Amino acid sequence: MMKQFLIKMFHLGLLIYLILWCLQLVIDAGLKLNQNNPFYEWNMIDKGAINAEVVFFGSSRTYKHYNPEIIDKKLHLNSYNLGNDGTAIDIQRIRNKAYFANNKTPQVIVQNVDITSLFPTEKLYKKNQYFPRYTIRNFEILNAVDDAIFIEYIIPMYKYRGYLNVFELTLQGYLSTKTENKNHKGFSVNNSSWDGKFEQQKQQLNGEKLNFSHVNFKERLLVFDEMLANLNAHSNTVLLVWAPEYYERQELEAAVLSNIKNKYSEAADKYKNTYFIDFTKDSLSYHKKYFYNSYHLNGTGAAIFSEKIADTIAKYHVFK
Amino acid sequence: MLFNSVEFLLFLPVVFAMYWFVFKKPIHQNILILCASYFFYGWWDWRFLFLIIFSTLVDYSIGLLLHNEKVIRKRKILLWTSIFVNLGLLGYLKYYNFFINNFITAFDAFGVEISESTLNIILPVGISFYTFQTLSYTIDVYRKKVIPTNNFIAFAAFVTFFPQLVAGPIERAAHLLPQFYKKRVFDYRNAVIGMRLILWGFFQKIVIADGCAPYVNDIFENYMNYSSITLIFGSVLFSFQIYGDFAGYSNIAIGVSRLFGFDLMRNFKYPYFSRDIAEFWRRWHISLSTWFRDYLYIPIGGSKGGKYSQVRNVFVIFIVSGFWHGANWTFIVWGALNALYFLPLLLLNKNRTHLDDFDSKTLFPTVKVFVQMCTTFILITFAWIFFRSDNITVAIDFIKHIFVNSNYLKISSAYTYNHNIRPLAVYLVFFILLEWFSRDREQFVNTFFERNTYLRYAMYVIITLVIILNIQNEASGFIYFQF
Repeated sequence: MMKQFLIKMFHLGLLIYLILWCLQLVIDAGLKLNQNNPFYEWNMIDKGAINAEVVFFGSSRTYKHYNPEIIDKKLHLNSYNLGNDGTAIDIQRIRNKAYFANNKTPQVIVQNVDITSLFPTEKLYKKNQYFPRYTIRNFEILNAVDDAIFIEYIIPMYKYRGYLNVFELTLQGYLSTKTENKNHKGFSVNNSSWDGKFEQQKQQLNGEKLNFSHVNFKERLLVFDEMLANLNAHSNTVLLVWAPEYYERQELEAAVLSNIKNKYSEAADKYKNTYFIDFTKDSLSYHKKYFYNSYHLNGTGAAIFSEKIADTIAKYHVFK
Repeated sequence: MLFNSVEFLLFLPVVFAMYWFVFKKPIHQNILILCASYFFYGWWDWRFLFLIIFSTLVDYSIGLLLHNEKVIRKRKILLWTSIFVNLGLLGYLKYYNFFINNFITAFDAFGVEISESTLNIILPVGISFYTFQTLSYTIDVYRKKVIPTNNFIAFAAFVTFFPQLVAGPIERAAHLLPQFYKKRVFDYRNAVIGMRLILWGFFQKIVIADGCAPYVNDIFENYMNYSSITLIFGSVLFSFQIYGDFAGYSNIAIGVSRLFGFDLMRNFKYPYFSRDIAEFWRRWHISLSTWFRDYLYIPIGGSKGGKYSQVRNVFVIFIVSGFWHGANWTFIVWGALNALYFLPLLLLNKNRTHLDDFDSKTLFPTVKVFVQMCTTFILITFAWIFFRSDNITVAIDFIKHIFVNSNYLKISSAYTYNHNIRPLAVYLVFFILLEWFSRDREQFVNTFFERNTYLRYAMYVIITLVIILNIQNEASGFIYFQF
């Protein structure tokens, strides 16, 4: 009786497991065909459809700052913005690796750097974008930032809990349905005016400076170093660019700012054709009108900055 | 430890394997159950284990003393000692602050100021459940309906049996205790039904109750800002939440017990298909309703005597039952409201009209039955407003807002604005239909699915999938744990 029960439970469990696993495969495949945010850029990368001469990696400060249309026009080449909103360097590695695995080697990589990119990731932002990418290659990175990842890897469909629109998104993928995509070659413009949150933050700090005591910079810079080695191995020229930040914010970051810049500069010096370029003292940083918050340029600011970055790329790299 | 937690997912198979493969003698199995139950309870807060052990020792000893005592007066003293100790602990831990606060308020109303000295008491999980279970043992021994046990391990395992320790069903010694004496033989059919009950229990808890919870919480917390229809919607969802939560727990408890060869009483028999309030109370939280019937209602006269005593007895049992749920006037009013609903049936001698089981042969109910079911559901849902509200003022205000808020016919709350309600609506329809078509059975696999293996397996897959898709990152507790 017991044996019969255990065998039946095992068979039933296995059957359910296999069915759910197959269903997960179907959904993953559907999402990999989805042409809308947040899957589109990922799927372009996986398909090897980007193959740009210049690619921009980084966080939202890449996503909102580097306009490929302006850069392409100026340099007469194909560039692509692969900035991933809400990510720090640990998570950015997933996109870098996926890109190098499926696309031709870019001539220039622009990696945006700053302080927040060194912050530890406490939560995966827009986690659903990673669901079709739960591969062995990405396990270690994802597992380091999210306790649920291990169970999500072993129990089929568990990763989709709470995402009940996943069936709709899968269908969109299979039917090639396009919804509004605000990205242009991975770049998203924000034309809002200054949001005033920085003033609130300053008020809360009450004259104090940001101390970043929660960040182990030494440890995080080791992760960055590993990432930089990978970037360097996959490109002729790597530019580590610190995009403009509103100057008053830089004053708040004064405790660590110059030290971190030095570290990035030292990191760049270790590699051939790798340069650290600092835009924090650029004139853009001193005008609120170019920002929508203290950390992100608005459309006007991004357009001017993209012109400048095109000139910088041309200065550091001779395109063949 | 919560049933819907990873810890329990590991705990259950380990205890199951040890129970059937390592400890084969009943005495050893009982020791295992006892240790597992203490571990299960201690996982939440080990300090309160002493309370359970104390309660166990008291009732075990009094049971034996009662058996040896022939003098009626001394027997009564023993019985009242048990009642005093058990209800004293319960009263102190659960009701002390309630009485102190109301005492102060009452004196305040007469202009007498008394300094407040309430205590910061933590209510031990499940105290109302195991207190009633041990009490029933002593009362039954006193009534000579149960022969007291001298097997302490069996008795302690009966008191603390982990599947039903914290939220019932509240078992009677006459039914559960003898099962601890017998040699347990693994029964395939029983275990399969147990697994089905567990699966369905998880569906009720995770998909239905936890799915309704955020809508309900938002609507009850911000009721003053929402339209009438939204408030009605919130109340209806709470009806499903509390049913899914409690019936889900009971089904998991009964299912787990079956895996260990134990038979627990049914706690719910599709109560929302009841045709009147009397039937509802024969189908809702059956173990508590019958407890109150046997140990309170009948001793104070029950349905004997004139109409006045009958009405009084009905109010007593419903109000006490309400108060059992918690030290708050909302529960008392909830109980009284149910007594009021019951009154017309009692006065017209119609409280025992629907004693039959549901007719499972017909596909759909007749119009008359459908109207009766809807009316009962509306009355119950209205009463649940008191049960769910933080206090009486809020409950009355909530009801007022149903009538005075705008008649805007769109369900709109902060939570519905940000979340798609369609999946929950689909689950609720699926839930109601499956329960309706299984209404003549204990578990959701009805005769139709029983005959067709493929359909049955498809159902298992669908239910498992839906459960997985609705699991929350943090396991949520069961509402009845607080009682």
